[in-house]
Amino acid sequence: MSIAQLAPTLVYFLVFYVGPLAVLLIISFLSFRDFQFVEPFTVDNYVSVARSETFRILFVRTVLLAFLSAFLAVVIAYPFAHLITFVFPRRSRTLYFLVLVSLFGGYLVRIYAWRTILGIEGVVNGTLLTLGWITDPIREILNSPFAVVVALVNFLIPLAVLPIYASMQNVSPGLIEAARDLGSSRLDITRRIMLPLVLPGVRVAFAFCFIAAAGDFAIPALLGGVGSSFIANQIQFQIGQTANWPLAAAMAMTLIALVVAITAALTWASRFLTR
Amino acid sequence: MNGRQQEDAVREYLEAKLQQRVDRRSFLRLSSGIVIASSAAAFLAACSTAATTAPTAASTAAPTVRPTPNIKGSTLEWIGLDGEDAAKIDSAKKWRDDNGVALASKYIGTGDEIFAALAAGQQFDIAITFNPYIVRSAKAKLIQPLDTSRLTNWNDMFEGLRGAGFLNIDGKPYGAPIAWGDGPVVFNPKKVPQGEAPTSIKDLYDKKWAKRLTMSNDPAWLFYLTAIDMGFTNAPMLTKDQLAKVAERSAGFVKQNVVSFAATYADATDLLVRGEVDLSLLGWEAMLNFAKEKGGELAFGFLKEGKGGWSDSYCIPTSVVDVDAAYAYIDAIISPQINADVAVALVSGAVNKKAVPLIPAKDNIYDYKNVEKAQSGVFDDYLAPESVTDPNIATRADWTDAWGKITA
Repeated sequence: MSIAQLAPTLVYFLVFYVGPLAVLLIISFLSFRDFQFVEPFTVDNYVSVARSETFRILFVRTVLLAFLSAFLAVVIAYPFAHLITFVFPRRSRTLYFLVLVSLFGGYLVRIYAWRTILGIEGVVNGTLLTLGWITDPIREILNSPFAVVVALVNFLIPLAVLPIYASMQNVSPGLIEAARDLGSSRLDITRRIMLPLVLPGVRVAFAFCFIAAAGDFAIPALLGGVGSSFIANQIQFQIGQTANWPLAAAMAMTLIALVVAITAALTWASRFLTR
Repeated sequence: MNGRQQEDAVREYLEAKLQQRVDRRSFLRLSSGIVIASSAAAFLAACSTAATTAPTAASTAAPTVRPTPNIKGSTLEWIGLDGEDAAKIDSAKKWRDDNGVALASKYIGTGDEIFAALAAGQQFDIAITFNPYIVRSAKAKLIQPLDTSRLTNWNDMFEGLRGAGFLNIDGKPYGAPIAWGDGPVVFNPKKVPQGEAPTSIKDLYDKKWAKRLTMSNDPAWLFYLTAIDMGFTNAPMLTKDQLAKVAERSAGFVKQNVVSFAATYADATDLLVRGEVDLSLLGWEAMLNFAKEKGGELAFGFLKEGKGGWSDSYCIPTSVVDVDAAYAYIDAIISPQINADVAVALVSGAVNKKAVPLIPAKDNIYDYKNVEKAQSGVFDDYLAPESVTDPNIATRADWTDAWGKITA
């Protein structure tokens, strides 16, 4: 592909991604006083972030819950993609379309739907009460890290299905047939044939999910209650409540750097372990 | 069309543009575009050398007030909360149509954003300013004092608003309040019988409220109420030691009693109606109407430490262009009928005494005794200072840090 062919994409990428990111980077080195940028080029914001116990707590929580959500999303998405590709190949287009349709649903609408499901008068509490398993509704189902993970997984599954499904298109049914004819068990076929071929798609799916989850703020804000905030909530707080853009920008840049580093480390580790 | 014809068409278009009359606002827009482009270049140059402090537009921009005799054909550049421009209110629309005034509104979410927009040199004819920001904005020279002789409805405004401390500096008002309200606690009467409703923040610290409360994810109001309860009457100008004590007490409250943070008043209403919480520290009388729409019933009450009064005002920025149109529109918005309609639309209190009887009974939910006298004690200034000269005084950043530790 020539540079000329790449030009439109490159220009779009530079203007709408690299440009704003560069502005964010510059802002992160400024200071903010009385709602105005002052004293350009200081690393104070990064020092504040590094020394902040709050940031450390939020970062650990963000990474752990994002990792767990991405892992669960991939674990659920994998068999679904397998079903679409190999078990119901004739219905694959319809099932694939259903996955896409779930992406069309409003993000906030889905969050509020989870409130209805997990709430004190919600479906889960209602069922448990009806079954007599509990005598009082459990408040901690909603407004908890559990609710955050459940909603994140729901949001991430379509993002995970798509790359795994795409990578499964490269697996020839003939290979599986041959392995089966040669006496391989289902587990062996999955482990020795499917996984090595599909692993790049799984890695991409995990990376997509992890990055999306680590940057989310609406789900922790609306479903997490007190004590389930992510870093993004702190960034939003710094911008929305105190208008301290430089500190928020430093937090955002630190988050981007750390998430990229963790994603790269996980990708490298998975490659190393599956060599 | 061949190449020659295309060239002719382009030339014709450009010549027409060249002949076009450039009005004052177009000229200013064009100028500000050039200024922004020049500033960007200067900023980039500064970035490359990192040697000097970048001046802000606000500190260099001179006021450009040039009265025009006729407001017909004016376009008012307006910034504030969605709805407070009265864009969809029929009586206000009729006034705009009759007077040939158009609105170009920019909607934002917080007072900080308005302050930041004005400080960044963005040009508006009217800026909504929330009560705790008026003095700050005036001291930053972002808004100008009003010439009340140009407002025929000014004297019909409640004394508690036009004479309020949040509005006046050295006896000069820096804005015209268009709406007001207060900040009650709102609760579910089925879970909190009226006799058991809290009357002090101290009541809400009790363990019986464990995991039953919601509030906004903002320390200002809670820290202020707690500080007053602890006897720190200098709040919000707390010392750092006082802040540490207030934060410690608030931490216990949040971890024990608050189950979730409400993003908006509608969100708080949703949490109350669904039974997720029994009481919201983030309160507004309008939530009772929101709840009715969802088939729920809510009640409200006040805490003795503060009534959480708010008032949103139309202010004229120092960078105003159409000052005559701005005054005319402000006067229209505080006129009896339009102000009554604004009060209904915003579920707020009216500011004009003559507007109150025009509000339908079901929408007349505010106690106007709160604004009859100048020192009503309704409008608490509970925002921590952005910057201080005394290093012992806690700034807003200190409050935010303390809050971050509590909520992390």
